[in-house]
Amino acid sequence: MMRGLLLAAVVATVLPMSASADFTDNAPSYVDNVPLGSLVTSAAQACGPQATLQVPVIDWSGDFVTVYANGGTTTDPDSMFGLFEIDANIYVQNNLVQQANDFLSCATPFARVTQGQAQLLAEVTEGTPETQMVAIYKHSFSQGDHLVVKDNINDVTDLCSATIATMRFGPHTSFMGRILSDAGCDMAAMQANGQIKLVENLTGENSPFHAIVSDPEIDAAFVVTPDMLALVDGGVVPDSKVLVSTKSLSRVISDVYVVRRDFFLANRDRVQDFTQAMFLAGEEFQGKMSGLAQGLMQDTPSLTIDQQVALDLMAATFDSVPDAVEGGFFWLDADFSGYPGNVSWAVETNPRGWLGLNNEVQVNLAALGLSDRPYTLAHAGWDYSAMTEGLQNTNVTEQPVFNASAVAALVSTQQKQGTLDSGELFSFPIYFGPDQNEFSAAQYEEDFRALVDYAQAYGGAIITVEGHADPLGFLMAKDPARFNQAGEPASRIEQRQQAQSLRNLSATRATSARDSLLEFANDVLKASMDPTQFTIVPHGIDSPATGICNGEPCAPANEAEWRENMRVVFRIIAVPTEANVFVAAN
Amino acid sequence: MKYPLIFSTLAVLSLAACLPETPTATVTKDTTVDLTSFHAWPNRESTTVDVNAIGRDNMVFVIDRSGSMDWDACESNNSKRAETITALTTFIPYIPDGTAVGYIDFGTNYRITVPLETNNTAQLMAAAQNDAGEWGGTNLGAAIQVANEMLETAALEQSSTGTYRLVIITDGVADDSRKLVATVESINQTPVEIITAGFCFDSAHVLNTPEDTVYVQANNTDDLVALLESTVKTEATGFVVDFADTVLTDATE
Repeated sequence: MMRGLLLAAVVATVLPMSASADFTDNAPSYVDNVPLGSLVTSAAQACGPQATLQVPVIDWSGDFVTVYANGGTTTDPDSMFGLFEIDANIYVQNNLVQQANDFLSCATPFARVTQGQAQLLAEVTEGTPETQMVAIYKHSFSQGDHLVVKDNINDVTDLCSATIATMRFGPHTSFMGRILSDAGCDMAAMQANGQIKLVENLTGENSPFHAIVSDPEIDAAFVVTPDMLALVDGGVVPDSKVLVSTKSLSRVISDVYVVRRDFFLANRDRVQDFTQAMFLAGEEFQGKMSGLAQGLMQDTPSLTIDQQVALDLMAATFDSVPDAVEGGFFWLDADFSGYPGNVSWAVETNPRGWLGLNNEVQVNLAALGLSDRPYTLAHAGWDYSAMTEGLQNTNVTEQPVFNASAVAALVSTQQKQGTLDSGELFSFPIYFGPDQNEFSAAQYEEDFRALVDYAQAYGGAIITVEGHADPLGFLMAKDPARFNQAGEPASRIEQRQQAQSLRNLSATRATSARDSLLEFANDVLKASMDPTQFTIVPHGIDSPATGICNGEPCAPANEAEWRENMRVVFRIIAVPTEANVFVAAN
Repeated sequence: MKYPLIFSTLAVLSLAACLPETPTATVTKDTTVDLTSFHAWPNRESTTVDVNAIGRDNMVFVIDRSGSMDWDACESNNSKRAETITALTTFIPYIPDGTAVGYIDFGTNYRITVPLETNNTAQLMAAAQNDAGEWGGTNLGAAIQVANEMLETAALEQSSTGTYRLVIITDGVADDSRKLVATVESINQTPVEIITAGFCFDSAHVLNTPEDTVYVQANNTDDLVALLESTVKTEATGFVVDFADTVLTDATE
């Protein structure tokens, strides 16, 4: 997908959710970091039969599927829910505290949360068996959330000393936790120092957008796409930029439905029908959205009739969707999971699945002081093989995200332009001996485990595998006398041959390191990896750790420096917005 | 039998026109390779990279088909053209599998007879056995320039990894001497290796400068084959030198 062009188109067409208000001279009201339970007023009550299911949705494009499955806010008999004889009333509820009240009182047996929010909600649901959460369905991973920073923040490590605005109990909790953790920040200290500023709303007044616009103390804010576009592309905060977005950290905000345990046990078949209807409706809706990106890229964005009808329904349901075209842009912010994504989500060993991501979220929420203790949340444990009837796509094999050739061309160009560093989020060097070409998992297991984790979490980021070679042999051949060596200096053609040979050695090393990593992920961790995410960058001797002296590699002055040059660096790099390197979106 | 006479006369006239001077390399005592331009090569933007071609070896043959090649080769009773065919047909089977090969021949014009691709050795062998001459001109510089562009395109597709070799078989005569010298000297700043199989070249010839090019006798195929099998020593295998003072001196200069 032409994301860069799409972003430009979005700038031109989407009315920012917060930008219509002028917050410049109007400081936001911050709220305290208090447990969710202190704000919840409902007591736990038993769930009745729920002849008409009350189903909450939030302002998120993944929720289009719920509305589509129902044919609107009330059930259309010809809709997927109608066909499954599910009668549902759909309503928008973005407030997690109100969702908690409704869930406990069983005004609805459903909660529509991110997995980060599920961990917050657990504090009030898990104490009573009846209200414990059971995960039943995953909409999507978000690709529409962003950490926007002011110009004093240059890389993720700067966040540790920054003041950051985010919505209390909001969808960005897990996003923030992961970033600060990866940056190596002491999150408890940041919380104690008042560096995490909480606001009540996601957009509009008293939102992170409001905070970064009006409060000079705020260095960074977690915002949604329209607000990001207003801040960065619209210039509302001059020189601001996106430091990290869920386009890169693409497997951290997981939008899901959970259902109360008592209702689940009493209505398992009905809940399964609900889930299966969502799979079918999701696949149908996704099919209608095929080619959406190309249509939206036109000078005048265009939609097919099917798209127009489907998205008009969303505009009629969500206040945040003014019209069908903007609904189309919104849909592209979601990495829709569908049946295949739900099957892998349920796998206990999947680190980005229900259990795995919950474990990560727990640790980060505890570090941020946002969670009292870890909770193990249940999954419905569906027999997914019994839920495939009518589905076209039941292939759960990981699909390539990137066009590997386009990524390699982009990186090659950036390397020549010297701009490869600009999008770097994290880097991991691994070292080896002279002329070493093989990388055993046993030797590099700790590095490989970390890399697999990052590769999976940052599924929308390119990972460059950059091979380097040591220049000492080259320098000695060129000028033996300088190194107290006998022999004639190498001719220029011999120097060129050697420099090229070192470049090839660095390519071989990088390829070998990547292959060993993928093999380790597959064989040891049983982790599904996308090889197209990795691209080889053969540096040879153009960027030795010892630096460049007078146009040529600086010679290592001691054995430690010599060994530092022999390295493969894995770098996680955010894809530039203008780059066209993805196979497909959504 | 007027035709051979006219043919020979034309050949002599043509040859005379082609031999005004030896294309001589610019004399330089600098033994330094400009690594900045070396690493920046090719100085064009990649639009696509074939990830399966990373590390591929590339070899483009540039074969002289001009009239002067009909004269006897030095130290041989055979014509240079016949020696060329022998050298090529002997050499080609030694080319390692997976090597991309291309073939350009030239006289008055140049032709890309075999595009630079893998698995086309048979096509290369067929082209190598073509013994037709082309009288009228010897555009060696232009042919090398085009061959180099083929290698640059390959380099863009494989992130500049692998090897890039121009194997030139010629008697060194060139109508476009200035272009030849400029092209060769430009190539000599890049990873492209020029390997010339020549016929008794003057050591001042731009294609026979030991500092920058590899030169072998065209009728010595053993040397050509040895080139293919040569390996380049890469990294120092141990840190055994003590040169800290030298380094510090360099850094402060």
